Amino acid sequence: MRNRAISGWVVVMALGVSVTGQAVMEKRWEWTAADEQKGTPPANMSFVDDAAAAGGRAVAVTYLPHGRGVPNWQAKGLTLAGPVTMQVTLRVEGMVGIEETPRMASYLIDIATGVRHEGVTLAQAVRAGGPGYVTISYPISILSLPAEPATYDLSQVMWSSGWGGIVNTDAVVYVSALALYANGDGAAYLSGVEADRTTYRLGQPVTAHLSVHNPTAEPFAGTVVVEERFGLDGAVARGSHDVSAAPGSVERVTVTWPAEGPEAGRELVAVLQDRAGQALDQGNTYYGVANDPSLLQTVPTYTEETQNRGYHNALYVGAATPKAVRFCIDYYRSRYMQRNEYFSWCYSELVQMVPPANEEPYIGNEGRWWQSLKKFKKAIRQERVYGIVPITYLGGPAWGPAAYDLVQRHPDWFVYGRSGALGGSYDMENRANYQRRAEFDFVHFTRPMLYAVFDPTRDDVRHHIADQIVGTAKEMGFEGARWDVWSMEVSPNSYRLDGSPIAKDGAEADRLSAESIAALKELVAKELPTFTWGYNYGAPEENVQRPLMFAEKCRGGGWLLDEIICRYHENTSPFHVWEAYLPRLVEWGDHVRKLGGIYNPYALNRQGGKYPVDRLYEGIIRLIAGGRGDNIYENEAGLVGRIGLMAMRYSNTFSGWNLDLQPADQELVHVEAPDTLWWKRLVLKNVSLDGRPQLVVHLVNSPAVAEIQENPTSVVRPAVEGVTVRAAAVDGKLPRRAWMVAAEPMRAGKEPTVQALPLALANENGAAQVTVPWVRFWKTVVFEY
Amino acid sequence: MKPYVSMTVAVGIMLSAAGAHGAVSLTEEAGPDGPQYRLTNERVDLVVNPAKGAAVVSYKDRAGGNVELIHQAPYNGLCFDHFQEQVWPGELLDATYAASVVTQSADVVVLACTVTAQGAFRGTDFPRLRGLILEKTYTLRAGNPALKCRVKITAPPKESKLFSYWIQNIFFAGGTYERADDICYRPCVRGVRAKAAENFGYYGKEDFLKDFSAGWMALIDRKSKSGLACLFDYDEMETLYANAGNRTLEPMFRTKYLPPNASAEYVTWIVPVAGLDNVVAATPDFVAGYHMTSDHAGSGTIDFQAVRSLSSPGEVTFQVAVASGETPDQTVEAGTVSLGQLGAQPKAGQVTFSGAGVDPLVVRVQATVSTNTYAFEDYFNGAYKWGENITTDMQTPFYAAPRPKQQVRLVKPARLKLKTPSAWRVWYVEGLMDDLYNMTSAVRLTRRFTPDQDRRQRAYTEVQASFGMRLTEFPYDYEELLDYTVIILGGADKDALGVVGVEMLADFLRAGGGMIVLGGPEAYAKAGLQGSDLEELWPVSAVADPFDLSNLNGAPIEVATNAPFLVDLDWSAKPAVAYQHRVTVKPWATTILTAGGQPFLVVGQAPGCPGRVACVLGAPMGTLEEGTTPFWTWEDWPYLMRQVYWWVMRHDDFF
Repeated sequence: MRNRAISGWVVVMALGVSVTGQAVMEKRWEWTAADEQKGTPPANMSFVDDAAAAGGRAVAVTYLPHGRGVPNWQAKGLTLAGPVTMQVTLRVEGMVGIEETPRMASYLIDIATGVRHEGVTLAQAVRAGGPGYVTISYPISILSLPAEPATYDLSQVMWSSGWGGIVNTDAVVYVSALALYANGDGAAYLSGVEADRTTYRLGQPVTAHLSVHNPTAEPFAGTVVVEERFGLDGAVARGSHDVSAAPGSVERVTVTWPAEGPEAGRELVAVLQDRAGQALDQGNTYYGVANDPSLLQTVPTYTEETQNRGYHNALYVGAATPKAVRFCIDYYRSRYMQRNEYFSWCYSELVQMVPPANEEPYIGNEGRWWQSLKKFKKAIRQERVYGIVPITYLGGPAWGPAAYDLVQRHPDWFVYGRSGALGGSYDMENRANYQRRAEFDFVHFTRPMLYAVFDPTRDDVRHHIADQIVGTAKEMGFEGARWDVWSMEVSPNSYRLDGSPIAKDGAEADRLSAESIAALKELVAKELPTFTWGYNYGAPEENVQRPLMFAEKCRGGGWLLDEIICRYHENTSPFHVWEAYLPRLVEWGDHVRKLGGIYNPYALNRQGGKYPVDRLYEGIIRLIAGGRGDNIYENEAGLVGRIGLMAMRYSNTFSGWNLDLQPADQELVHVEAPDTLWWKRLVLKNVSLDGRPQLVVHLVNSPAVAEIQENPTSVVRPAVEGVTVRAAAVDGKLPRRAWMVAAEPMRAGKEPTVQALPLALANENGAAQVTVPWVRFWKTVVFEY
Repeated sequence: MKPYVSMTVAVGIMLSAAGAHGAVSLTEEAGPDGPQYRLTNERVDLVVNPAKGAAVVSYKDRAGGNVELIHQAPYNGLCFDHFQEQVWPGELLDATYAASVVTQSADVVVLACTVTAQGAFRGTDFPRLRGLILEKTYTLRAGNPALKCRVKITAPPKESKLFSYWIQNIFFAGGTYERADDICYRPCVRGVRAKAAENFGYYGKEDFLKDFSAGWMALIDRKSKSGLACLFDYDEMETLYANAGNRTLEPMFRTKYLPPNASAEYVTWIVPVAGLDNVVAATPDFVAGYHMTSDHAGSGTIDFQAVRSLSSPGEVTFQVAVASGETPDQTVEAGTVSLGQLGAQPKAGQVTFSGAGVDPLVVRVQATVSTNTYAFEDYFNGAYKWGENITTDMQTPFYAAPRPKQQVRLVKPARLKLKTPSAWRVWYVEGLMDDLYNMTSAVRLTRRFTPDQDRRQRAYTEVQASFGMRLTEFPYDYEELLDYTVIILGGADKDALGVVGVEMLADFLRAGGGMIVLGGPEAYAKAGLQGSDLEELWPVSAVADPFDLSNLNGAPIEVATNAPFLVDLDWSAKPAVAYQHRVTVKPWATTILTAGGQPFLVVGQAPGCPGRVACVLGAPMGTLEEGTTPFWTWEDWPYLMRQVYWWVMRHDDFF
C-alpha cells in the first residue's frame, strides 16, 4: 500500500465518495536546519546560511564516500503502522539531469524484532536543481511497515553512490528540513491493504486483507468499500464490509472473490468510511490476473532506490538464513513480482535435474555453489504462497555428473561435430576432483564438468527430457521453464554417432528444430497443461535462418529473451544510437507479440546502461516494445515515476495482445511538437479490454545525446509543454474518449503517480485533438473509438 | 625468426648505410639505480636500466610525437623477462643484470645484459629454472626504427632445464592510458582481434589469445595514431597475451626443454608505429592498417595505409580479394594497391570491390615486397549487424581462417633412452570416458606401490568451446618424460598433445617406453593423429573417417591369438562390446582379441623401435542387453589390463 495523502484535508474521488474526514497522515518526526535543537545534529555535514531555505539555514552535504554509513539523523521509539512517508526539503548544486550521486535512506527498525524497513531517494537536478528548495516525498517501500502498530527507531542516512560506481564528487546537496509522516492517533485508518498474492490465474480466489487500526480511545464502527480496477476505466465493486475496532486495536477484514477476466493488471482500492458514509482513508495495492503471470511482469525488482542488492541470492544459491529467505520473498511481494526465475540450480541439467537423495547438499549452479535442495524447495513453496510463479532455468545441454553417465550409456542420444568430437565440452580433471566431494577440504571447480547436446529428433530423447521436466516441476513446484544455450534445436553441422548428418541443410534443421520443440511442449502439456516456456536467442539476428523454430518458440506465450541487445551500447554495434535502438526493439517486440510470444528484451550490459540516463531510456523503449522483465528503471525522485508499475497496471496499453505497431509513415495520428519529441514510430493500434478500437501514441522526450552510453552526466532535455495530438477518423468515426497514461507527473510541480487521466477531446478539422500539457520523459495518449 | 604468415622467403634485413640516415649512439648515464644506457638513433630514443630487469625504462618515438611511452612507475617498460612458472612479477623484473657494451659504431650499437636465474621467488623454489643464464642483447641500428631484443637462454653445463619464457612490454600507446582509445591488435584465425578496456565484444578482453595466426602484436593509441608493434617467432608462440585487453604486449612462448649446456633464443623486434590508427598486419617489411566500407550488398571500398617496419623495403604492393563470410571460398578480386617504398610516414592506397556477397566480409591480402611475399586477412564485421565474429550460438566463430602450422624445433637429448627401464613409473592421460576402463585398479594390481621408487601421474583432457582440447599437464622435459616407463594414453587429440607432445611421445617409444592406447569417444580417428610419427609406431592405423565407432550390439570378446598375458583370466562372463573403433592392423602387429570379428586388442612393436604398444579398441560406452556383461564391468578386466601393462613393460617372465 503506497499511495497516501500526507497532510491537510484530502479529497479522494474514489468509488464515488469524497474523503472529507480528518487528515490521515501526521508529521511524526521532523528536523529543520533553522531549528536544529529539534533533532540530532547531522554528522559529516556543515550548516550554511541560505536565503532560499525556510528559516535561512540548511546543511550542505558534499561528497560522501559510499559506505560511510554514519546516521546523520536519528530518532527513537516511534510507534507506527501502515504507510510511512519521509519528506525531505532540499536543493542541489553541481549536478545536471538525472545524474546520480547523493542518496538518502530512511531506516525504521522494529526494536522488538530487529526487522528493518527502508526507503531511499535521490537528490537529482531534474527536480531539485533550481534556485529554490523542493520537497521530495518517498515511502518506506523496501518492506512496508506491517498493519499492526509497533515501535521503531529511525535512522536517516545520506551517502554518495552512483549507479555503476560512477559518482559526482562535485555535487552539493542543501537540506533544510526532514519530516516523517504516518497515520496519527486522531482517527481510524487503513493500516494495511493487501492482496494475498501478487498474481492470480483465472478462477483462483482473490483474497484481500484490509486492516483497520483504531488508535483512538473510542470504539470505531464503519465500512470498508472495495473496488477492483483494470484497464483505463474498468472497475468492479467488490462489496462493502462492516468493520468494528475497539480502541487501540487492529481489525482485519477479509474479502474474497474468484479472479475473473480480462487478463490484465489490477489495482485494488479500498476506502474506509465511518457510519455516516464519510470516507476517512483510502489505500490501494496491485496484482495481476493472468493465466500466464509472465504476461504482467514489468515491475522491476530493483530500482534506482535499491540498486542491485542481490536479495535473490538468498532464495536459491548458497546457504541463507530463514530470515534472509523471508525477507527476499517479502521484498518480491512488495515489488508485485509475477514470476521468479531460478537460474541454473540443477544437479545435472536435463538429465537428473533434482539431485539424488544422497547428495544433500549438492553442487548446483553449474558447479559453482553448494546448495541445499531442502532449503530450495522450501523457498519455492513460500514464494508460491504469494502467487509468485517459480520458473526453472534450463541450461540446455545435458550437464554435470549425471550427464556424463548418460553420455556413457547412450552415446547415440547426443550430437557430434564434423570432426567426430562430442558436441559440447568437458573437463576430466573436474570430474576426477568431483569424486572427492565428500572430503572436508574439497574445493569444487567452477568449470563445467561436461556439456553434451542431445539429438532432439529422437523420440527417446524427447521423452527423456519431457520426463525430466515434468518430474522436476512436480517435485519442486515449478510452473514454467526458460531454456538457455540449447533448446531442442538441430544444427546443420551436427552429426549422429555413426557420422550421418541430422539435417541436410539449414532449412531442414529449422524444420526439425521446430518439430522437436513442439513435440516436447506437447509431451509436457499432457502432464502439466499450464506449464510455460521461455527461450534465449530471441533476437532477429539469431533467427534469420530459423523462422520456423522462432515461430514455434513464440507460439502459445513463449517468453523470448532478446539477449544480444545487451551489447548494443558497444561502438561496434549499429544500434549504438538511440534512434536505431528504438525501432529495433519496438519493431521486433511487435513481431514477437504477433507470433504469440512474450517479449523479454535484455538490459544493456545485462544489468543496465552505464549511466542513469541510459537506464531510463532503455527502460522506456523496452516497455514501449511490449517488453517484460524485472529490471526496468524506475525513479520517482527524478520524476520518471514507476513506469514498470504503470505498464503492469495498464497492461493492455503497453503489452496487450492486440497491439499493432503502425508504420512510421502512418497517417492516423499527427503530433505537433518539436522533432526532439519522438512519436512517429510509436503509434499502435489496439483494442480495449471491452473490445473497442484504440490508438496508442507514445510521446518520448528523446535523449539529449544521440549515442548510448555517451552521456556521462545524464543530462536530459527540458520538458516539452503543450503537445497537441490529433487522431484521424477510423471507418468514418472519430475517437469518443482519450486518456493520458503516465507514471511521471501530469504537470510540472506534481508528484509522479501511476494514473490514466481522461483528456478533453476537441474536434479540429475532422480529427480529434487532445493536448498533453507537459512531457517530462514519457507519456502515452490513448484514443478510443 | 619467422614473425609473419606465409612468407615465402627467408627474412633479409636490408640495412641502409648509416651515413644516409644519421648515426646511432649508445651512452652510459647515471640512473636512479646505477648506470643505465641510452640508445638513440634518428627515430627513437630509449634507455635500458640493467638494475630493473635490463628492461627499456624509457622510450620515445620522434615520429610518434616524441612522448614518453613508459609510465614512470614500477614494472613499466619494454622487454621485461619473465618465466611463466612464477607468479608475476617473478624474480627477473627487479633483477639486476650485468651490462656491457658489445658494439658501438656509427652504424650499430649493441648492449648485452646478463643474469643467472635463482629459481626462487617469494619463498617458492623453482628448481627447473635455477641456473638458467639469460643473455639479453639489444641492437639498434642507424636508419632503422626497430629495436632488436635477442634473449638467449642457456642451461647449466650439467643440468637439463624446463621453462616457459615470457617477454613483457608494458607501456602506454600515445603516452597516456586511454581505456577506449588504446587498442591492442592481435592476429587471429577469427580476424585481427582489436581490444580496448571497454566495448570489447562478446569474447571479452581475451587477455590470453590462443588461436593467433601470426607472430606480431600491436598497441595503438587511435587518437594520436601512434604506438608500438612487436614481432617475434610465430613458431615458438604459445599465447599472445595483452593484459586487460589493451594494456600490454606480451608474447608468451611455449614450454622449452633444454638439455645441459643447450641454448634457446627468442628474438623480439620493437617497431614504432606512427600515422596508423589500426593494424591489420605487421611483417618485417611493413606495418599496415585499413579502413573498409560496405553497402551490405557486396560492394565497398578498402583504404590501406602502411609504414615501414624493421626492414627498409622495396616497392610494396597489396593484391586484395574479398569474400563473404558465408562463402569464404568464393572471393572477388578487389585490385592492387601500390604503396611504393615505405618510410616512417604512412602511404595510402584504395581499392574498390563489388559482387563480394553478403556481409560479413573477409578481406584477404597478398603482399609483395621485392622478393618477399606475405599473406594476411581479416574478418570485417563493421557492416555486419552484430559487431562480433560469432554465430547464433554466441560462441562459435562465424568465420575462422585456417591456422598456419607451427614448425617444431625440439632440443632433444643426444641419445633417447629410458632413465630407469625397470622402474614402475606410469604417466596416464585420462580422456573422456577413460575412467570407465578402470586403469586405476589395473595399475594397482601390477605391484605393491613403493613410494620412493614408483610414480603414478595422471593428466586430464579438457575441452572448451573456444580453444579445443587441452591437457592439464605434459612432461615436456625429456628428463621427466624418459623417467617414465609406461604411458597410458587415453582420448587426447592432436590439439591437446600439440606438435611437441606428439613428437615427444614418439620419442618415448623410440627410447623403449611402453604404451597402452585406450579407445573412447575422442580416441583413434577422432584424435587426428593419422600419419603422425606417433601413430607410425602404433600397431594400428586409425581410419580417416572420424566416425570410426561401430556399434557391435553386444558382441562378445573372443581370443584371436593366445598371448601369454591372457593367462589366468576367467572369460565365463562373456564380456561384450557395444562400440568399437574401426582400424587397420599393421602387418607387424598381432591381434590378440576381437569382437564381432573386428580387432579389440592389438599389440606390437614397430620395426626398429624398442617400445611395445598395446591398443585397446573397444570403447566403454553404450547400453547392452540385460544379462550381458560390458567388458569394462567384467570382473577380470582390470586383470587383463594389468597383464597388458606387464607386457608393455617387457615383463614376459611374469606369465
